[in-house]
Amino acid sequence: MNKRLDLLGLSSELWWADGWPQSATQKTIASGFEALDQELPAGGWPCGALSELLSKQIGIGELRLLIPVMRRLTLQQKTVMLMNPPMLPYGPALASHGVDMNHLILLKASDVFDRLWAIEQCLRSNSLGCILAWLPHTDLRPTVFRRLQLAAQQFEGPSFVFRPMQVHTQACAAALRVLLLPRPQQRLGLRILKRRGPMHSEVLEIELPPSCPSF
Amino acid sequence: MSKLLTDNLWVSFYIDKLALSIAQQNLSLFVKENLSLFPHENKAERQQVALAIHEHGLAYQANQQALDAGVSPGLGKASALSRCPQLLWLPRDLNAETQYLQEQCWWLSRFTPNLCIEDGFLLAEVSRSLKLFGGLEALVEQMLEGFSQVQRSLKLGIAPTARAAIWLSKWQANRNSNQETKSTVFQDITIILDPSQLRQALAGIDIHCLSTHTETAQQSQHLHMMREDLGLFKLKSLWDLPRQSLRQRLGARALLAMDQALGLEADPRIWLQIPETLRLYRELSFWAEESSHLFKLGQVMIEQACAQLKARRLGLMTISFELHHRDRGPVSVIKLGTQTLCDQSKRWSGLWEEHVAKTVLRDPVVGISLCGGATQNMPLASERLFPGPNVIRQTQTALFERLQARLGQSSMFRMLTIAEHRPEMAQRLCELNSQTDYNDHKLNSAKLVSVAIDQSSMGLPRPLWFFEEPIPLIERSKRPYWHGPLALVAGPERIETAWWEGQWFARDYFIASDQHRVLYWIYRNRQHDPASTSLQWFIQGCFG
Repeated sequence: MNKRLDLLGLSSELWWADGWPQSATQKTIASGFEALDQELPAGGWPCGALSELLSKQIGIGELRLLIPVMRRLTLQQKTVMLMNPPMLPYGPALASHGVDMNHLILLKASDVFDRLWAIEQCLRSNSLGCILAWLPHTDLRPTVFRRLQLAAQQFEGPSFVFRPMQVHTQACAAALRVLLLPRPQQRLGLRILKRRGPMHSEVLEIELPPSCPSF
Repeated sequence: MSKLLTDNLWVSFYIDKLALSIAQQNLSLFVKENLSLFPHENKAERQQVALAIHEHGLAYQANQQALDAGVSPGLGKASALSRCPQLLWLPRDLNAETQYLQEQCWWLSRFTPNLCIEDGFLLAEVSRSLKLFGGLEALVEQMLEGFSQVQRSLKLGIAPTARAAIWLSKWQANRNSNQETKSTVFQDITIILDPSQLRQALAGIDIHCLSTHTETAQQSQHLHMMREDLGLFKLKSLWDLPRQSLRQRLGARALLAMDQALGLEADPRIWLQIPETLRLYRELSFWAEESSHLFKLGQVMIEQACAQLKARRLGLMTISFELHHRDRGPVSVIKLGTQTLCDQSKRWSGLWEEHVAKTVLRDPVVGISLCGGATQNMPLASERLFPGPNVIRQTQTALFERLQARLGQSSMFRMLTIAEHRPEMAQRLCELNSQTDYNDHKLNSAKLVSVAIDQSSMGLPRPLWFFEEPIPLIERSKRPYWHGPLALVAGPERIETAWWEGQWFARDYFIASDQHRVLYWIYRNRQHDPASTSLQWFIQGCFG
């Protein structure tokens, strides 16, 4: 079958539903968690595509999940943009995790259209290292994410959108959708809802970088 | 014959029917925005509008549609309109014409600094630019890029003397209008490179070119008479006449002009000075009632301003647009600012687009002026084969400017960490603005410390999410309560400081967990007053 697809020149776009895509064209950045990397297509967070992270509440470890990526990129002198985080990220804590604060920029926009516009502008300009955007709105239309996903294809780094858990039943054009679940003892549960690869049904548990050594 | 005085090479630009071209350009700028002026829906129809420019009440220039309808130059308004009822009858705008020529000068100034304007002719002395721009043909082709809008009516003359270049371009204009040829500019351009050929090349030029060099009415009458009654059409026929009698009839100036054209007399000129301050003004040919109508004109002005900047190798960081209203009230000001010196029209246009989209006009606008801020010398960037960090930094700066243009100045922050025990003071948000360079790593040099703070020196780890205002917690069965009871899992860490600043800062920090296993950073104020018994809990952060 694969040979036939090769002849048609489609082998990079088509793959068996229970296997991984053949091509290695997808650029990724390692998430810093080995167990997670094994489950992500091409072994890391996708670059040049939108990743959607869904969680029920703030503070279950969603920022710590991305700290390895932020640390790596800021040390490479690439700018990481935090767009409309629900609370103020605390610099001393980020710095203690090794993130270079000189390359972190915080953007605040109140209007939802301004937020989406800003995300699109950042993706299209392709001059940042990574984008973390929070969109707590539940009534965004799927076309919005199609547009963002198209813009993300021009972006060389990873781009993450944080959304509330309620929207996990809605369709979304993001290349990767992950549901984040709270777990005790500095751990985080991940359920991959959508990825460019086989279905993934069980919950993956990873150990977060400790924020609290004694616990 | 005395020796030829010159080794210069002059290019003269003459725009035939300039008034008409300017009017048509203005229309094309506004017609799209202001459809009510022209009820025609489709574009092809709109281009067929008959247009005549009048001066002193008489038609001065008319476009092809008007000419076809029988509106010839020299007609009065009533007779013109009777021949062509849908004719657009616009006044000649001399100011706009000189302004247009000046703006073209700024474009040309990137090729040579030696430029001047004389009677509607643009003169550029290019002998020293030939080598740099790859020869005469390549140079002229590059120069013509700036004239793309008037290319069909642009006439060129190239000669070793300025006067000869002017006459050649004008002569060419007359010849073309007689023959109605529609070839490209370069094919029928007359180029004289060798000064010794001047006499031969100029011999065939109409003596009408001397009309601007006569001093008295009598002299111009003589000139007219020579041409019409004596049949002396060409310059050559004048040269055959005795000089003394020519001087008596036409005056010394006309003779001097002829000698200057041949390079026998010096023809010193004053070069055009590019003004020190950037200020452009454009009057609208209609009232703009919505700000979006202004976008295109502003873009054109920005392009001209940037041409001016480029010519002087300057950049600036602020441009302000003043909108003049119909009611002559105070002008509205739109300010554009960049973070770094900029002379790129694309970047300014992007900012202009964002700003103009936000603007609400309080009254229709009748004119726009552009004022540049303080200019500085533009540092020359070294080019690289591959886009390096410099290029990325530039696009990043442009991105931030654009974001700030729409979201406001205080929409983007850099987070500075400071070596300080009080949690609120350990982080400062610093607006990205023009004073601090985005990429300035010295920000955190002396006072501000951004090094990773040693975990062991701090008692407890710090939370990733921080509440700007601590939230007081209620207490239920002696346990702090925040959407459910909280259990203390680590602590306390005592922070006791700042007594020297007069405010007693004494807190015990704990890490607490709720039933969803979310970790919070809470504290209790240690009151300085020992009399109070119950201690208030506050929540200040959340470990994300």
